[in-house]
This record gives sequence, structure tokens and C-alpha cells, in this order.
Amino acid sequence: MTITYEINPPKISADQNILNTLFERIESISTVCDGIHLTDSVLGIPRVSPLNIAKKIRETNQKIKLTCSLRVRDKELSTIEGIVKESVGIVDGILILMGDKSNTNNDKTNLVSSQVVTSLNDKGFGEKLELFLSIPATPNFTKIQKKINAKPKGFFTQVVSSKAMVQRMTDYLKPSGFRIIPCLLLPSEKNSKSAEFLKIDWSDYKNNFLEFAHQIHDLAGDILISSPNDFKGAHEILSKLAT
Amino acid sequence: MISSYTFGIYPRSEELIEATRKNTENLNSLFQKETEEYISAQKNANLGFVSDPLLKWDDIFRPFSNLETATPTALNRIYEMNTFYRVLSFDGQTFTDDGNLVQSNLDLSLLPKNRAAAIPEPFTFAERHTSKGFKTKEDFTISLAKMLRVEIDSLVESGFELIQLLGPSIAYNNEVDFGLVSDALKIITDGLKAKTILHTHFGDVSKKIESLLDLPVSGLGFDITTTPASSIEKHSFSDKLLTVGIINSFNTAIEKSEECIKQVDEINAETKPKESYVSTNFDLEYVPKEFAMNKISVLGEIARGAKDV
Repeated sequence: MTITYEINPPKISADQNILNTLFERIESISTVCDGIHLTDSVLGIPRVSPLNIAKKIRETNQKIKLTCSLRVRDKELSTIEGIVKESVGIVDGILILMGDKSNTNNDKTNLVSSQVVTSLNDKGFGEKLELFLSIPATPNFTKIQKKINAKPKGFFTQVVSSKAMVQRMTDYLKPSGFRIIPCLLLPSEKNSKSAEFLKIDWSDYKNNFLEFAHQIHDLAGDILISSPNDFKGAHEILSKLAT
Repeated sequence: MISSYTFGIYPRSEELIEATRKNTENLNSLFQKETEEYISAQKNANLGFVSDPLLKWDDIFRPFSNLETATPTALNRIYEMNTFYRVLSFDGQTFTDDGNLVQSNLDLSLLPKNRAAAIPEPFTFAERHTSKGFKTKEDFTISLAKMLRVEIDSLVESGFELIQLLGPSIAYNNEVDFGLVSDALKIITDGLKAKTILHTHFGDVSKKIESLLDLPVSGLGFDITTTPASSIEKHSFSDKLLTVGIINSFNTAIEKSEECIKQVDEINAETKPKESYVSTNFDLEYVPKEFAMNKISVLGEIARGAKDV
């Protein structure tokens, strides 16, 4: 039963002030959520490594659950294994994903995320930390069979906008023992551009997000709150969810 | 007992998906085998009407890409689903069609006499595709309706007794020009010697039911996962056939037939339809094959258990 907040690390060029703000926010938000998920260079824009941010968090907070995304698009398998090895004992889980194409980094391999999870499980990493894969909000179940066969601990979803979407995934995947972590985009003016970009229709829950979040949490047992441009709004909602 | 049917595209098995990706030698025999399995499943469930599972159709519009004036362009998402259709771009103002586009993509030899076919209704068709030849959406819609009528006439000649008109855009879009929907449907249904049922899914049509009841079709089909049964029950269907989309094609959970029978009986008692049907709420392609098979069987049980009207 976990309420996780998603954090995008700053761009690599970020100065110390930006990093300081980030860690202040992490410290603050950690009091109202169970976990933090750190993304890995979203949209292919190079950002500070989530593992480095996680290490810094662990210096002061041993309790908060930490998960990280790990892009496979621009990495060799040996590099991935190295990062995962280094992550053991620091993060609780890793979301293995293909990642968006980058304008600056060329794709290094033809690795796909399910193959990587299979390989990491074969090497025993799945016993040392939780390995996750991602699925669309309305997955075609037959077409995600390779991801299912890879035996991750569970699946992070893309942003969901209805209870039915989550019900569908939990009904199919939970009986097989998978955890489902539905991603919810906080509806707020500041996040409206993200919603537009992701083509998310939040009209059904815009005015009762708290209730929607509770319903999704009741169904899945987990939720991931994403609020890329509205930290204050996210803090308020998480505070209410925590009570 | 009431009547029943499924409509739209069925799921390919994992083996068939893999075969289509690799274009294996046994691809055609796999298509044939799975088509036969799905048709047998519908017959075994005693469905009132049997449909081709459309396994070779990548989307419901794809056969129309063979029109001389249609050019397949980009892939577009099917509403909010993680499935896609190929947008067709229509050139010119006439759609040459000998009425064989849909029929030639169905396996007629496997279908029994009680056969049904699904076709997109013109408003949805026009809303999802583009035209270079028409200045207005209205003209494009009407021209598509004329082309679809030729297709439907051909299907009726081949013994199709039920034509399922798929109108998800009517449900999904907030703004719907019902005058245009009606004009286009009139072209399709005027004097047609087959039943026509308009299916609305991917959106709640609670506020549109009055307008839907005025449309020139034999009946209406509702997805009761998005349009609450309580909304449908407010209306009389004494002049219309009513299809309750009781089987949820979006979810793998298998319906409990007793509960569904009770719900269908309640809806029918309130709406008093001219004829009553049960169906899937939309294409079964959104669940894996094994679940689709189970759902077909449950659909048959519901139809057999529901009270006649």
C-alpha cells in the first residue's frame, strides 16, 4: 500500500541552487508520501542520474521507499547491469523502460525492456530489488505477453484517467501476482500543458481528484502521483491523502 | 430467451500475432483456423446472429482503403485505446465501389444463415478520416453514406439479416450534428430489407438518447459500462429494437450470467423494446482470445436466460 510521488531530476546543466531546491522539496514531500519515484531523462533530455539523487536522499532518509526509472534505449546490457548492481541497497525498485528518443544520445543497442528484465532476473537481481516494467493505460493484453513472461514484480502504468482503465489491469494482472502502480496526473492549471501533450482527459476527476485517487488506490493498492509543473498542488493533495 | 450477437474485430491469438509479424508460411492457415474457431464458438453459444471475427482487418475501416480514391495515411489512436487505425485520405468527390469491399473481406462460406455484419456509420467514418475533395464535412459524410449503402445492399443480397452500424464518434464527441447523422443514416436504411442497429460506445450517451431514438434505424445498441442502465431505462423503446451491450470487452473479468440476466430483464421491463438483444459492448479485440471465448459463451447463457419481450 504505497502512495508515491514522481520527481523529475533537474537537467545536467542545473546549478547548485536548483539542486538545493530539489532536495528541499524532496525533504518536504517525503513527510506526506510513502515513496518517491525518480525518472530517467524524460523525453530524452539528459538529466541528473536518478541513482545519484537516490544516493543523496538516502544520506538523510532511510525510511522512504525509492524507485528509479532506467532507460535501456541508450545503454549496453553491461552498463545496465552495473547501474542495477550499484542500486542494490539504495533503491527499492527499478522501472526498466525503453525511454524516449534522445536528440543528443544515439541509441546504443536494440535492447527491449522485457528482455532486460528477463536477463536481470536470470542473474538474481530480481531477488535484491524489485524490477518493474511499464504498460500503456489501455494495454492490449495479448501484445504485452512478452512483458508478462519477463516476470517483473509489477507494472507502472502510463497516466490513467478512469477507474475502468485500472480495474481492467488489476482484474487481468493481479491474479497472477503482479503489482500495478497506476500513474495519476494531478489536474491543475500548471499541469494542463502536460495533460494536453499526453492527451489526457481529466474531466471525469478534475473536480474530485482526491476521491479518484482513493478509488484507484483501493483498486490497485498503489498510486503514483505525477505533477510535473505543480509541486505546491501536489504537496497539498498528498497531505490530504496522507490524513 | 432473447436474441444475441457480437460485433466488430476479435482478438488474434499470441501465435497469430507472432505469425503476422514474421509473415510465416502458415499465416493463412492460422487465420482460417482461428476464424473457424470463433465462428464455432458463436454457434455453440447459440447466438442469434453470427459474425465473421474480422481477424484480417487491422481496423474497422481498413477494407475501404481499397477504394480507388482512398489513400492510407498516418496511424491514429482509436479514441483512448492503445490500438490504432489507419487514417484514409479521400481524393475526389466520387467513391467508385462495386459493393464488394466488405463482403470480399468476410469468410461467407463459414457463416450460417443467421449472419450479421458490422460497418462504421457515416458520421463516425467522416469524423475519423479526411477528404480533399469536399469542402464541408457534411458533403463528405453524405458521400460516404452513399458508398456504404452500396456495400450494405450487397451484404443484404448475400443473406445478412442484421447490419450493425458502429457509431463510437456519436458517443465520444460532445458535439454531434444529429441532423447530419440522421440524413446519412436515412441513405443507408431507406427501403433496406435488413435490420439495422446503431451501436454507440466509447462514451456516455445518456443525454443523447432522445436524439438517438429519432434516428432512422431499426434499433439502438448501448455500452452499459459507459451509459448507465438507469439512463436507458428512462426511455421507451416501443418503436425500436434494443441491444444491451452487457458483455464488457474492455475487461477480462468474466460476467456472472445470473446478475446480467437480472439486469437485462430490468432494462427490458422499463423500456419495453420492440425486440431485445444482448451483445458485447464493443469489439472483443481488447481482451485476449481465451477470455473472448469465455465471454461469447456467457453471452449465449445471458440470452437464453433473459425473459422474452
